This record gives sequence, structure tokens and C-alpha cells, in this order.
Amino acid sequence: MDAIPIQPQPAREDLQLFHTLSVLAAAGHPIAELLQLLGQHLGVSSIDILPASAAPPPGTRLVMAPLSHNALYLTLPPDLDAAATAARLSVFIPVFTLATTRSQNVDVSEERDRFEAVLEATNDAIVLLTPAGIVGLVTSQFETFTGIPRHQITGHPVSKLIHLIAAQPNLNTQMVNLFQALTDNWIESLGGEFEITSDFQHRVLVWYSLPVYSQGGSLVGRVFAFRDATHERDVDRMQTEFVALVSHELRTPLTSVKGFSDLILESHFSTLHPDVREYIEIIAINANRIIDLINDILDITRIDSDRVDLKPCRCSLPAIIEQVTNHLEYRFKRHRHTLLLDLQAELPLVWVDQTRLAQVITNLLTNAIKYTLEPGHITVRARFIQTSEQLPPEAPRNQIVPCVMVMVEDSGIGISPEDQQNLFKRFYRTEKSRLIGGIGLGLAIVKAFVEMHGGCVWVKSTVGQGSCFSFSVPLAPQESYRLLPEPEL
Amino acid sequence: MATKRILVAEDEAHILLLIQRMLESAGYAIRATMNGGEALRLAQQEHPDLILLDIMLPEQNGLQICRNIKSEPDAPPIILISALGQQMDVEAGLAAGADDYIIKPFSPRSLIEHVERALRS
Repeated sequence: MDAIPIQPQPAREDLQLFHTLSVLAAAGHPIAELLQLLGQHLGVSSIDILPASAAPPPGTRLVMAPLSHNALYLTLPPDLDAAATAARLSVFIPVFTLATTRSQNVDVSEERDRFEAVLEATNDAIVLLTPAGIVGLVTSQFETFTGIPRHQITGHPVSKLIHLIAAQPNLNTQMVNLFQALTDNWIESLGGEFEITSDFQHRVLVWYSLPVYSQGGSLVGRVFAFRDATHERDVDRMQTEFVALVSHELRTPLTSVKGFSDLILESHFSTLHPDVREYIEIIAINANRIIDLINDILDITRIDSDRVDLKPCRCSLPAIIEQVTNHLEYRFKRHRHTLLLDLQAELPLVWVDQTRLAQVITNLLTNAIKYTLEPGHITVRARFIQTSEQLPPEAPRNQIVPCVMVMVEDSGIGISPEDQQNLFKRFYRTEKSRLIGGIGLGLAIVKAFVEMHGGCVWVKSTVGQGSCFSFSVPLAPQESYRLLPEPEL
Repeated sequence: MATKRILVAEDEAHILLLIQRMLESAGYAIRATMNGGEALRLAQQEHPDLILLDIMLPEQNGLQICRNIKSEPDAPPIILISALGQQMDVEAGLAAGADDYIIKPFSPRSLIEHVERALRS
């Protein structure tokens, strides 16, 4: 093979063809066609484009490289001068550089088509914002949700998108806000939910937005994704309404069952045959169990649908504890348990919803009553915790101090370490609780309510010795400060 | 002291009988109705010392009756009795002017306690 001489001045007809081929290459004509035209022009026998690393086909007399990773391989008729042909050919190299890059671009756009098809199939409305603040990609679902044609925003600055959304009266201003707020933010991942009316349909849209980085760490842009959650929210709402309806309908007959059995026991107790008395007591106890069950199910449904309306106020914790223990007095008596109250004197006021906190204490005490062999001892303690050193070692690390800690301690059957792990999960029942009855919601409700107050709940237990459930509640705002005595001078 | 007269409006016959018996055994005189419209008429004509109202009543519901009665001067105390036991239901009841709210089911003792408290105030 010969070295390639530099030809200082290309021939005019070569330059003409060079222009023709450049235009064809730019318009995306296949490389094979361009090669054919060039081959005819140069009078070569054949001209091919192959990888630069390939072995030259038989008869090759000229290899022209490099064209990115490729080379031109030519076979020449015997009378054609190889060096002169190579010199003429060098003029056309830029055409083929362009053509091969273009063919790679075709691959990229195919890749992009596939990528967009996948995004379309997710059925989410997706908007990709480039680092330059240009709308790079919009899926058709976004058009459905907003009524804004994709072609009006794709390739345009995000300000145009924001303007168009703001101009749609049925779109929530939250959509405008989130585009505005996150346009120049390449750090945060955020999400939320809002409602819109589109296509004359009311929709609940769940959205999230996050910056996207390539594997190499370069910023690709910010993705905004919107998903239609209308149906899910409808199902949630129907479930909540259904539970409320069922519980209401169950309460009505239960009022009669409980009311009349109570009435018999209170007004006609002395005239009843002991057997009859016992049977009616069983009816009354079981009516109460159904009522507790209904209340638990209602509570957990409310917790799930975020409809617990916490109304905290400055409260005296001992007052709430005494109210609950008075209420449960008859149950302590029936099970012959002794109750001891060990409430630290001068506890600071706490910041709690009285009804919810009473329920937390009730659930813990009724569990203690149920799981303690008769006659047993149950103790309720309350302590003011000022520093984290005063916390017991088993308290969670995220426990905030100062706080007031309440402990419900029993001399009961105890809980195995495995059960302790799962105890606060809903519908979890230990072997023993299956026998005693209950659907495993009491402690799940305790945990949810305590955590809503910003407190923690935990358990310490030894099988055969008893359990101690502890929870913490925050101090009432003014009680967080303590006045220290003035230093003596 | 004269026997206190209590108007009870409840559309569930068994519960009406239950409330009636519980209150009678505690020494109160009871006027009972199962209809909301009649409850309002009886309240206005007979001026009871206390009214116990179910919320879900035919013709006029308990909240409407409560607002109606409480809009007049010298209205008697009103206790709503309902199976609607959610916090928002209780708040809606108190917002309608009720003095107290009892959630079904209830025990005889707690019913009497609520009634005594309302009559004292």
C-alpha cells in the first residue's frame, strides 16, 4: 500500500461532488449510496466502509483511515494510479465522517424512541427538564392531565410551560408552584398530592420530582412525574365510609344488648337466680368486647386515612391516669388484681390530647389485666425525665428529653423476645393472645397515638416475670423551661 | 321537689324502651317519641326539664331540632344520644347547641350521671 500524498488543490469536479455528497449525507442518505456515487466518480472497482481493525478484503489496494472507528477499503482497476486516487479521495473524507456520525445519531434517536415508548407505557405524566431549563421531554399523559399540547412546550423554556399551566383555570396552582419552586433546584427530591379537574374529570394527582444524574455523575435534568391516584383515593374513602357505616349499624343493636343486660344486673340483681346472673354477666362482658373491637377498628381506619385530629392541650397526667383507673376499677376487682399508682409528685404538665392519651393508658392497662394471672399486681408509674441519663437503657435512642415517662408494669406471663419484636404491629397476636381474644390492634393504636404526640413507646419483659410497657409524652410548652434559683452573691 | 320531666326522642323502639326504663327506675317522668317533628312540637308545647335526642330521626334530625330549640330563650338542656361516635360528630353536636353528647352504647349508670349533671346545671 502507498503513502498518501497531500494534494494542495482539489480538482473542480471533485469539489462539486464533495458538495453534492455533503448535502446528501446531511439529509440522511444511506452511506452505501454515497459510496456508490463516489466510486463511479473516481472510477474504482469497489469501495466499502468497514471497521478500521478489519482485515482488508481480497484485492484491496487502498485503505483510507481513520473515519472514527472505520476505514474506506478500495479495489482499483489495474490502470488506476493508487496514490493519485488516494489524494483525490482525501477530499471526501469529511463527507464520510459526517455520514458515519449521522448514522450513529440515528442509533441515538432510536434509543430515544424506545426510551420514550417505555415512559409512555408507564401511563404517568412525565416532564423532563434539561439543566438549561428547557422542557426536553413530555409524555402524552401530561397532555391528557393538563390539556396543554406537547408540541407547545417540548423544546421550549420551562417559563412557557409555567405560563401555560397558570393560564388553565382548572389546574391547581400547586402545579405552577412546584414547577416554579423546583426549576433551579438540582438537589432536592420532593413529592406530594393535589387535585385538578381535567377532561371534565376530577383527578387526584400524586407527584414526585427529583434531579437525575447519569452514571458518570453528570446532570441529566429534573424529572417531574404525575400519577393519577383518583381511583386509589376513592377506594380509601369508600373503605373509611364503609367502616364508619358498619360500626354505626352495629352500635345500634349493641346498645340494646348491653343496655338491657346492664339494666337487669343493676335493677334486678338480688332477684336473679345465680345461674341467670352469671349468664347475663357473660352477655354483658361479650357485648363490651364487641364494642371495644368496633372502636379499635374505627380508630385504626382513622389512623390509616390520616383523619385523627389531635387536639393537644396542657394536661395533668396524674388526672388522666386516675380517670382511666377509676373507669377500669370494676375490671381490677373482677380479676382480683391490685393496682398501685406511683406517680412522681409535682410532675410538670404535659402537652397531649386527653382522649387519645386516656385511650393509650386504657389499652395498656386492659392488656396488663388480661395477661396477668389472678390475683396479680399492676403498677402505673410516672416520672419526669430531665436528662437522657435518667432514661432506662432500653429506651429508644430518638427519645426526646425533657419528657414525662409513663410505665405500666404487670406481674404477668411475660412476652418472648420474638413477640416483643412484633408486638406493636397491627393484627399481630401472640400464642397467648389468640387464646384470650382480641384482634391485635390495641398496641398498634397505642404506638400510633403516642408517636402522633411525638413520643416513643417500648417494652421490657421477661417470660414468667412480667412486662413493663413505657411511653413518653412531651411537656406542655411553658414547662420546657425551668427557672434556676438565682446564684447567691 | 317535683318529678323532673324528660322528653326522649329515639326512633329505635328497643333503645327508646331501654332509655325509658333506665330513667323511670331513677325516678324521672318520661315523654317518649320516635319522630323528629313530634319531638320539636312536644318540646315547644310541654317545656320539659331536659331533652334527650337521637341524631338520626325521621322528619327532622336531632341536630336541626337542637338548633331550633336552642334558638329560643329559656331552652332546656339537651343531651344528644347517638351511635355516631367520631370526634367530629361530637363536635357537630356541641356546635348545634347541645349541652352534652352520649355515644351509644352506654351503661345505665353513665346515662343517669349525664342526666343528673345536665339537670343540675
